[in-house]
Formats: sequence, structure tokens, C-alpha cells
Amino acid sequence: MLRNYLKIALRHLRRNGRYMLINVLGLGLALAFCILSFTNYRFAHSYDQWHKDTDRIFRVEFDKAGNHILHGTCPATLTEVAPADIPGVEAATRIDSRGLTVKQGENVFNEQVHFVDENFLDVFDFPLARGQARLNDRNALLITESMAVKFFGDQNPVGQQLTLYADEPTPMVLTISGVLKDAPKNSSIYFNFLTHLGNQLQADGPVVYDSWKWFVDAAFLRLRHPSDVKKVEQALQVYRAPQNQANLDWPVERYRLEPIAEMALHARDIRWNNLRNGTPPSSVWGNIVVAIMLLLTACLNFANTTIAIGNRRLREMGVRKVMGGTQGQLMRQLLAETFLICLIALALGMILATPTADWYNATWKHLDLHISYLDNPQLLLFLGITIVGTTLLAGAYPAFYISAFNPSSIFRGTLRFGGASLFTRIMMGMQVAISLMALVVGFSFANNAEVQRTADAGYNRQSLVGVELPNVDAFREFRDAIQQNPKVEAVAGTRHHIGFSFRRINLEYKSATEESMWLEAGKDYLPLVETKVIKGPGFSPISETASNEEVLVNETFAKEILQSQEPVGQVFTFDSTRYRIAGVVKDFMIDSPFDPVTPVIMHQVPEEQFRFCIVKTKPEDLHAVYANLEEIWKKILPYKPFNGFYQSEVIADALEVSENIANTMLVFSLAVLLLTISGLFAIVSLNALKMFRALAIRRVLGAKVGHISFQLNRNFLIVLFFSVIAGGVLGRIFALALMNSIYKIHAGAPLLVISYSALCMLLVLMLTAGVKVWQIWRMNLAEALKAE
Amino acid sequence: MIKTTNLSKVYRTEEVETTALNEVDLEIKEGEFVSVMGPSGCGKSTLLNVLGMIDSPSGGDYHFMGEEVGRLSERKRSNVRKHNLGFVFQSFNLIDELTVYENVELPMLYTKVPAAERKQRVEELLEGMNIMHRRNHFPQQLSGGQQQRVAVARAIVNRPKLILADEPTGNLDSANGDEVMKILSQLNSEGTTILMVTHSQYCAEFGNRIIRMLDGQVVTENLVKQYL
Repeated sequence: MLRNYLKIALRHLRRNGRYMLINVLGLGLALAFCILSFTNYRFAHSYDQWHKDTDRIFRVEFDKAGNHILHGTCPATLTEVAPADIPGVEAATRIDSRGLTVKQGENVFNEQVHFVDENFLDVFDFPLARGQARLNDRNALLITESMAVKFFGDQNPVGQQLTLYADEPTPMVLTISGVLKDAPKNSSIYFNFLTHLGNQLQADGPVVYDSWKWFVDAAFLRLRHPSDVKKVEQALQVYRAPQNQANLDWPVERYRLEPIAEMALHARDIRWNNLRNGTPPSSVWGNIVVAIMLLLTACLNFANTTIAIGNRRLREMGVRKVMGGTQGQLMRQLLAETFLICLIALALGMILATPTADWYNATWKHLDLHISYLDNPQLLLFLGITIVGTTLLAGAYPAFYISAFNPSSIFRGTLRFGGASLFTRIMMGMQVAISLMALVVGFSFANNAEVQRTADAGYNRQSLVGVELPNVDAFREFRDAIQQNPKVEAVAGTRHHIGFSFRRINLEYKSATEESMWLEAGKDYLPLVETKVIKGPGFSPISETASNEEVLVNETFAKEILQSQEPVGQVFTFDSTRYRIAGVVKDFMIDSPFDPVTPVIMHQVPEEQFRFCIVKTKPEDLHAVYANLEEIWKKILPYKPFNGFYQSEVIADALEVSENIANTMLVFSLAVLLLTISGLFAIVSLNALKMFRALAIRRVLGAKVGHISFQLNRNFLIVLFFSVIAGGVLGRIFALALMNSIYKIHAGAPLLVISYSALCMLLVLMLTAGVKVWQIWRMNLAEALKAE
Repeated sequence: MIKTTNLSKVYRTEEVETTALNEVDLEIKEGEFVSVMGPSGCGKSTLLNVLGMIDSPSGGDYHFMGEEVGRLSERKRSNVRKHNLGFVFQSFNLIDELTVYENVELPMLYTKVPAAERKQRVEELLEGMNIMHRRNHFPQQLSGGQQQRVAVARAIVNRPKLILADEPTGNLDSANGDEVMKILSQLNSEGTTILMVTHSQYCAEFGNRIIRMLDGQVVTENLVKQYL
């Protein structure tokens, strides 16, 4: 019987080539997206799980007292004392980092160098490619394979020397003892250079790691047994007292242990997470939603076209029933046919999944998705479940519907269905709604990227370039040199700079502890970056004699911390000094759209503290001025790589995310749209076939093209109207949910974008239906009148 | 074999009610060859469908081989049908996607006849019908006469006790029609009961009894001359 089912299925598919092609392509594409989203999900949940002791390694994190914000850093001393104090701790290791200049011959680069404890490679499994891992040797340096190629090309780097510079031109020469394989992309711990923790520098001096004041980037404990975690976590709380005594500004409320296998998943929720973030949850779940919607559309299309051409199977169904076939047997037969189509589609999907993953990897640089089947039982199980689910989703209703008719009514020849039945129209409406929803999301993110690129961020980011400098002497030389350039409109110095550096402080206001950003700038800085002072006089020149205890705050500070108080004249305490608020500046984007606007205090500092030289020019002169900055740098700081930037870089990551999501959604939307068009065309064609003679009679009687078009499509108009509304509303909800999960500042999904998307969708649908109307209009009337 | 009492079939739409069978009393004995005649729309095909259990009666009783089958569930009717009945249609109703061989084999798939026996039975029948050479052809590659012979072969392959034929010669020329009627007569002479709907007096006289219907009722019943 099964052979009979398959045989008839193959012959049926051969006879209905276009039907099969549309459905195999649609389902294949949808299944490729399903494979991609499954692989993406697995990748997001695979971070740090490849260390042999992954279940026993935990990162030490802490909740800050007062605001309960979870921090990813750890007091450096804690891991030195914990293994001796707490029986459940088998080992402890730390990682710290800082940006340094790394020089080898003529190769000079700014690099992030990581400083680790001697046992770092005992706790973690980063395999050695060549040489030895002498982390106990303070003169030794480990580099990754990609750095070996970057600095030494084909040469063996082991035994070679690299010179590291901090802020001053004082060299630290280290010998490469070994080369490590590059850390995989699903590693939270990411490094290019590893050396002894004792080599870490603060300014240009060594770091004192036995102080409770110093926080390392991350500290890890390897427990004797994973089940010890609660006991160890409890035991860690004894270290609150020494830490809080040493660091009054940043008191710890509670230490926490997080399994390293879960770090990447929560990384974005943790402040000062100096390790690599995992895949954003919105990207993982957005991808899954997209795949489900695409699969749903493909299944709807399948069900729709199967029912639409169901008339061709009626006689067969009738005969089989007369011969003794039951409805259950006929449903199984039809489901077997659906299964066959799904299998062919799966084969196509499995082939398409690889280029789809390559495209996705190229879009999201943090990803390294590999699609492999034979060595991936989870994926095979997923595919098995998906194929059964898809078969039932796509085939169950058509199988039930087509097999349900009474043979006598089939043989009487009066039974007709397909074309524009209510079911068909609802299915079509759902496809249109899903397609429009994707279009709205795609266009909303494209619009968001454009808004991020051009909108007012509360300061001038279109015509600024700058450099970060090691000291005030360098600043002065830079300022004097760049001012000679006639294209330069203004130059200002600052200690911190919007989008690049801030300090986070605790302050006392009316006996409450509050948190705020702290930005120290020169007096010319605010006019240069065009941050608007909306209350008070702004910065006044710092008097040589008077103490500088006046600050400006932003609107959010006034709103959230001062609440209803008149800001100017209010006083708060920070670091034992009382500061008076002299004015309020308009809110501005502090860092990037990923971060919310939070309270900011702007404090004027003298030139001695400047570390940034910010230059204003015309937008068309930006590149020329930037090049001039680079020339000056080479003269003043020949031992350091150029450290310049365009101010627009601050939103580069946010733009990339917006553009990538827009592209992904537009590709997805296009796929759904193609499915919808093919389905709509098939259904309008069948509808036309049913109405062929009637339309011919109307034409003979003088009907115009508009009238023919209305007759042919009127059954779809109401459904399309409602599906456009539903698609628009759902698209807005989905776009906002996705944007809210990614950005703190975004453009949303404005009505104009939704209207534009709906218009595009309607145009495409009208064009599709129009092709059929045109074909009807061109028909031979004599032939058509003979048609039954 | 068949006994109906006040058998009725009414088709209802929202506005119209059509009585296709109006309290039909009928009895057909095993081994009979009964022809049903009457004008178009008199209820002949409806009677055949109801007696063939592919449609259910609206009222009355229908006993088939002593068992009341008019109110059986679809599953039970299907079971009775596949083991006892064979159908021949005017428009052949062969499945286009199946070959001649597969079309004839089809009823045995539903009665779970073993493969070897299926093969033997199909080949015997195709030889008997003189269409063995066309066994791998599809229905649309055959002439009308050949298609109807395949349909007859399919109807009898499960060795049914009753064959229901709905105008089996309606789409055939006289030579092919004659051939089909001879096959049906032969089957009847071998013991198979036949109930045939036809417009043709000539074909009807191949049977031994003729029932005439009008407006859903049996109006006359006559033995064919040779059986008088």
C-alpha cells in the first residue's frame, strides 16, 4: 500500500510540476531558515561549554549595594584568598586587560593585552599550537595564531620579542614562548596576547593586585564539585567587609557565582562585563520567529494550493472510496504525498542552509555557524521532528478536506471547490499579513538605521574628529599643530569625551546615594560639540584662585535625581566635595543607541587633565582633517599607532545591527512575498478558470477591464483589507518588541513606514492579480464561450 | 440478496427539496441480472448509489444479504462494500495516475490480498479481457472499450457477490458495448448477481428482469422474454 501511495504521489507531482516547484521552493527555503535558526540557537547556547571542567568553573560577580546592579568584575584579592579559605574551591584564576601599543620592527599596532594568573591555562582549555605556555615567567608572552601571522607572517614567532608600550614611551620587552590557537567565536574569554598578571600596568606603573580596591576584568573559581556552588557562594560573603572598607564608593551587597556555560547568555545584563557578549537574545529569538513565520507561510501556501487544485483529485478519491478505501486511508495517502514533497523540500533546505549560514555569518561578525549533518544528532533529530510537524501542518487540513467528500456527490459531477473558497481566502489573508509584517519590520529597521545616521543626538556628531592622547604635552602639541589647518573651525580639549569615555560615580544628594555619569571637560568643549545649555550660564572660565565646585547636569539628572527641585543652585556631595549645579544641558546620546540616556554631570577641568583633542570642521572636510591629524600624530608620537576617530563611529555598531536586521528582514520578507505571489497567482488563476465562461459572456456584453478585474478579485478584497490591517499592526508590535530588546534609543515603527510597507504590498498584489486580468482580457472570446 | 422497504432518498438545499427515491420496495435474489430503466432524473443512479452503499438512504430499510445496512457507519459500509460489491461506471472512473495493472490491482490493496495472489488474479483477468498487452499503459492511452474492460476487470477482481453497473455502455460504440455486455452476461452465468442501470432496451434485455422507474418510484417490473 505504501508503495502504491508513493507511486501515485510521484506521478501526481510529475503531472503538477508548477504546483510542486512552488511548494518545494517555498518549503525548502523555510526549512533552510529553520536549520539556520536552530544552528544559531545552538551556537548561542554553546558558549564556553567546550572547556573540560565547564560544569565546575564559575565567574565571581557582585551586586552593588544600593542599586543592586550586577557587575562582572571582581576585587583582585578575592581569588588570592578564596582557595585557602573555602574548602570547596579547588582553584582560582583571574584575567585583566588593557590597551597597549605592541611593536615588532616596523609593525606597530594598538592591541588589547590580557594579563592572567599562572594557572589560567590549567583552568581553561585554550590549546597550544606551538611552543610552551610559560605563564609563570614574567618575561614570556603567549600570542594567538592570528597575531603570529599579523606580526610575523610565515616565520616561527616562538623566541621572538615583542615590545609593549603603555602611556609613556617606556618599553616592556617580552619573549614569545608559545602560540595558542585562536579562541573560538563561542568563547566569552577572548584574547590575542596573554602574559603574567604581574605585567599589568596602571598608568605606567605596576598594578597592586593584593589591594581590595583593584577590580580585575573577571575572576573564576573552579570548584571541587558543581554541587558545592551554594556553599561556596555563601562562604564568599565574608569578603564583603574588607572590600567595602577599602572601596567606599563601590560597596558590594552580595557576591554571586555564575556558571561559565551561562555567562554569555546573560552578558548584556551585567555591568562591566569585560568578556565577550554572546549572541543577543533578540537575534536568536527574532531568527526563530522569522523561521516559524516563513515555515507557516510556506505551509499555508501548500495547504492553499493543494486545496485549490483538489478538484483534480476528486474522482480518484471517489473511486478509492468505492473500492473500499476509508477516509483514514485516503488521508494517510494524501499525507504520504505531502511527506514526500516535504522530504524533497528538506533536501533542498539542507543544501540551501549552508549558503544561508555563510550569508548570515558575513552579516553578523560575532557568529561562526557551521552546518553539518552527519556528526550532528541534535540537528538530525530536529529535522526529523520538523519534517513530521511540517507534513502535518501543511498536509493535515487539505488531506482531511479532500478525502471527506461523499463519492456519490463526486460522481454526480456537481461538486466544485478550490479557487476562492473562504478557507482559501483566509489562508491567503494570513500569508499577506505575515508578509506585510516582515515588510514593516524590515522597513522599520531600515528607517531606524537612517534616523540613527542623521537624527539629532543632542550634540554635533557629523563634523567632529578627534584623537585620544597619552598626556597633556601631547595634547598641547596636537592642538597647536592642528589649529594651523585652515579647514579646522575649532579645537577643544577634554578629559572625557561623549561616546568614548566617562566615569561612573556615586554621589550623595539629600542623604540619598545616587549614581551618575561624570564627564570632565574643558571650557571650550560644550560649544564645540554643540551640547545646548538650557538653564544657567554654562561653564565659566576657571578662576586661578577659586575652587572649581560648579557643575552642569543633563535633563535626565534633573528629572530623575533632583525630581521637582529647581536644578540651578542645588548641591550634592561627591568624594567629600560639595558641588553646586550651575546649569542644565539638553539630554544627549551618551554613548550609543544601545544605552539609555542616564544622569550626567559635566565638570570643568583645567588643561593639565585633557586626554582628548576634539576638532570641528565642515562635514566635507572631515577626511582631510582626519588625515592631517594622522600626519601630526606620526611627528609627535612616532612610537604609538594613530589613535584617531571620527565621531560618527560611536553609532557604527548600532548602525550595523540596524542595517543587518533590516537586510535580514527584507530578505525574509521577499521570500514570504514570493510565496504569497505564487500562491495568489495560482488561486486567482483557478478562480479565473472557474469563471472563464462567465467572464467571456460579460466581455461579449461589453464589460470593461475594470469590471472584469473586480469580478475576478472581489472575493479577495475584504480579506486583503483585513490582512493588510493585521499585518501592519502585527508588524508594528514585532518591530517595537525587537527594537526595545536591542536599543534603548530607537525610531520605532512610525505610521509612515507602515503605510509605505502596506502600499508596497498592495502594489505587488495588484500587479500579480493584474497579470491574470490581462491574460483574461486577451483571451479568444469564441474559444472562451465554448469552455465549460 | 437485496431487499428494500420504503427506501427513500431526499436531497435538500436551503430552498429546494428533491425526492430522488420515493419509498422504493425492491427485492433482488442471488444470481439475478436486473436492469433498471427510466428517463433521466428518475432516480436510477441514486438507487444504484444507495444499494451500492456509496450514499445513504434518507428513510426506509435496506437489507443486504440479510443484514440491515442502510444505517451503518461509513467504516462498516466501506467494509461491506469492498468485500461484496463491484462497480462499473459509465465514465469508467479509472485513476489516471495508475497503469492498467495498478487500477485492476487497487481493490485488492484495500482487502489486503497477498501480493503473489494479486499478481495472479490481475494477470488472469487481463488475459481474459484481452488487454494484457496494455498492462503498463495509463487509462488515457486506451480506447473507450479497453478502458471499460479494465473497469470491469477492476470491478470483479475481488470476486464480488454483486456488480453494480451504471450505464456501462453509455460511453461506448455498439461493438465495444456488446463486448462489455457479453462479459457481464458471462459473469452472471457464473453466479455473480448484477444490477445494471441503462437507457438501452437492447442492453437491458441481456438481464433477466427489467425494472422501470419514474419520479423516484418503481413503476413496473418485467421478466425479459426469454425468461418468461
